[in-house]
Amino acid sequence: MSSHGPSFEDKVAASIDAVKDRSLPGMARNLAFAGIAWGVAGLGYGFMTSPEWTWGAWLATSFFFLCMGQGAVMFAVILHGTKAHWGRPLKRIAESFAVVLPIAWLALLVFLIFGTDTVYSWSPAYTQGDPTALAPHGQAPAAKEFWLAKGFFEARQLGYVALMMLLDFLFIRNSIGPDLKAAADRLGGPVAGWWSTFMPSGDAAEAFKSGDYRNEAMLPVMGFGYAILWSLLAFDLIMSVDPWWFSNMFGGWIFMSSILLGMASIGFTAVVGKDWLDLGPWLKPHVTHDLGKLILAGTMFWGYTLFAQILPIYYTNVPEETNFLLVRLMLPQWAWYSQLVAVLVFLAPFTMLLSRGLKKMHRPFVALTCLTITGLFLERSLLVLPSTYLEDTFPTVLFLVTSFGLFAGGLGVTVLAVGSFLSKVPSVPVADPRLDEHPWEGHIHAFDASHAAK
Amino acid sequence: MQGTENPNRPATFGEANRDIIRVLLKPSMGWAALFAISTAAMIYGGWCWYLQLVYGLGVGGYNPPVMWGIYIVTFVFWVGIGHAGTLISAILFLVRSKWRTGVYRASEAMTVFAVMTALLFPVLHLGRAWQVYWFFPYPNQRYLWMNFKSPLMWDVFAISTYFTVSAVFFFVGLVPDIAVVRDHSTGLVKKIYGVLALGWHGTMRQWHHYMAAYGFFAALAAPLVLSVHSVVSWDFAMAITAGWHSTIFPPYFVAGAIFSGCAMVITLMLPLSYAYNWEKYLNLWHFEQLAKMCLLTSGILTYAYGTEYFVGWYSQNPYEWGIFYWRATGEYAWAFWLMVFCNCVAPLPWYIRSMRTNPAVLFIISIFVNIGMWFERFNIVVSSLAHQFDPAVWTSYWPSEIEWGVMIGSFGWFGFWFLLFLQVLPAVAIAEIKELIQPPTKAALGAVEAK
Repeated sequence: MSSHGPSFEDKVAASIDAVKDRSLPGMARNLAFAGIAWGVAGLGYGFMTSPEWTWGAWLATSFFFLCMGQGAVMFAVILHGTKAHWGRPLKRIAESFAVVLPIAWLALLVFLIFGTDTVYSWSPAYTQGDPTALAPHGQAPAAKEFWLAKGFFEARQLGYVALMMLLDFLFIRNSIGPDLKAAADRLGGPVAGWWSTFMPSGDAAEAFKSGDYRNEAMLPVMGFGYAILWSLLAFDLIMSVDPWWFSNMFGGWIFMSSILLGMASIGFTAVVGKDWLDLGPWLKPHVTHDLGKLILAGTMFWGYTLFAQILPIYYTNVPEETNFLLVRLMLPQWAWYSQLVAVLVFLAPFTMLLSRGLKKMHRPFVALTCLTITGLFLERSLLVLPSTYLEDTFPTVLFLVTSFGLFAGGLGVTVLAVGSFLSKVPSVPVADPRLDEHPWEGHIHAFDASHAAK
Repeated sequence: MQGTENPNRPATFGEANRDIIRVLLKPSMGWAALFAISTAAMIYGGWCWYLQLVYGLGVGGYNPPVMWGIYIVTFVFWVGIGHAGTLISAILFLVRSKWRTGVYRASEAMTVFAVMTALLFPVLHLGRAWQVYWFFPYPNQRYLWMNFKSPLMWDVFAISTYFTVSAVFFFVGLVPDIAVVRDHSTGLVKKIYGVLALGWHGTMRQWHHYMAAYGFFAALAAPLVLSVHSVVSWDFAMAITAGWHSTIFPPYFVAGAIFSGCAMVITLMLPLSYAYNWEKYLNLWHFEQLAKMCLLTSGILTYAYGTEYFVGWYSQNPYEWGIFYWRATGEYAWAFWLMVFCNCVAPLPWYIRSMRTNPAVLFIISIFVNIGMWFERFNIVVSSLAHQFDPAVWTSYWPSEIEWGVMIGSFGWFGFWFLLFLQVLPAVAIAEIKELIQPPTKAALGAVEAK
């Protein structure tokens, strides 16, 4: 493509060769284990101190990592659907987050077995006292009993995620298969361990064509499946912590912000892991610039859809709707927390991302993704905890030790799982011709560069 | 017509100039017939409005509490149509999508004229239309101000802002092309286009400033695509009326607006492409992309319809669930199912590539979508008002002849301006088409001659 530097074919070859000796760096592994240790300690402290907070935090954390994993995979689906060239170097990283889903699914299973009676006031065996004392915001409306019957509820949540994981599995199998084949052809044999079972027979280029075609056919299923299943998951798992409150925007807000979370996680991984993943030749400034623009769009959409929920509820002032917001926005123990979420997820990233240069600079970009990821973790916690922890004061120690411990533990598990996957497969989709820069993009970036030079 | 990713482009800048401006100021018989029909419809609408002014709003089919009828339905419809133009011209410009080039000029024109049409309705809706200026803040001795807390007032500001920005953006985009028309004209026509071209000569300096201004306007216009129809949706969502008070309305309305706007672009531009023999500029590649946009937004609408029903049931609010149940089974069920068919089912064939690259299928489905989107607004506006909280006031509404006449007049008004536009201004952006052609260097010219 370019007259300077290595050719496209050379870069592809280098990316394949790099798989041979790749393993997760010791520092990342140590930090991951430290995070997991913090999580275990936080759980122990939490269960001894406040099971209500701890189960609420467990639910919020499990849901957060489900959203992270699925949101990242949906970014890969969007890249595929739009036939975008610019983000192709990020596609494998996006797909790698799918490995977080089974772990988060297990965490959800544990919660559903042991935690529902503590968290959901509609549960017949609710442990926090008489739910009618919370009425009309405690017990579920009578007609909803069928929908919120415990066994049916639990089976549904596990089923939603399992179905989505199945779709992800099919999509990723079609996507990485040709790359594994290309790697095996060049390196003289399979290198991806268990993942080599995804490797198709025949020529890598042919395998890419058929996989690409199959994934294209899957796009509507993936898109609609994600929107519907994630909305139902959000309505059931999160919105039902207050069984009387409802917002029909809630599902859409959650699944769109999950893609924002996925994009921030991909950006963080790509930039921090650039050397380890040998992404240097691919991760040009315009890639983070474009990803930054999408994160900006996601941030704005998060703010827009949040505002679209708050404004009509505030304006009409109907008690059954306002209660959920009042607790979070007006009670002194939660008001500061809500403001912090607004700053971390919207105000700070929005302000930072208006700068073109900042989106191309790696350190500020990483800082920005950290803000978004942390903010969205706090946001998911904010949706759950005020409805499960009914004390009048904010438990700072529990928050720092247990909530952040679970966050750190989850991140640690994510690092190990994603790192394990990326150690075995090419870090970019080497068999995908769209990995090469689109001619129009080359023209545009040359235009941008000439303007930047002025 | 071609349906490939690389449309058949003109070979030279001169060819693009000639192809696009040759249709200006030369009305064909077909154009004249359509113009006459549009003008007649507009005059008929004006006559109906005159009758309404003389006899009062009672000539409408209003039956309290249904005090909003098809004027509001059609108002929201036209605001929605006005969305696709800015989406195509501004947002697709910002994301550097090349397929916008062929269709964006006419889409922008469609936007401006659709918003002009929508802006008629607040006036048409007034019994004393001459007091329309009460909408705006103006100094007066009694310090009277309009009610800023009313979403209807937010609408006034949102739509007038959108109209201003869209019109300026439209005109800014036209300047280099008007200069081309000027350079190919003589006499009085040349003088008129010369004034409109604002002294454009295509110097480097002018292009530099022009591109900066265009990008700036695009960035300014893009958020308006979201904000305007969100504010229109709040006309409904801010009320406690069942079926209206909904948090999903803003993005649902925006998606619906883009859906209807893109379908209207197909409806208008597909015949235009054949009539003007503009297949080099407007071909199936463009219409396929528009069909994909429609598919995406149709999916969002289907999701929103489903979510409304699910949460209506999930909320166990008897009024909320009651209205949704009634919409699907009551007096207006036919309108509801027509909406579902047109917006959710009819676009499905576009998932098959051969269907979205077939001109007849494209055109027919786009008509279904236009009908479906009008009925969507009919469902929202009429059914909720006719079936409110107190069964004692449940009633039915059907538009009167006067209302139908005014609505038909609005289509005539839109057609009048759009057809006029086709005759006086380039409907395809000449300057941007040239960006896709090899520049007129000696080497390129040699290649063309050799061809």
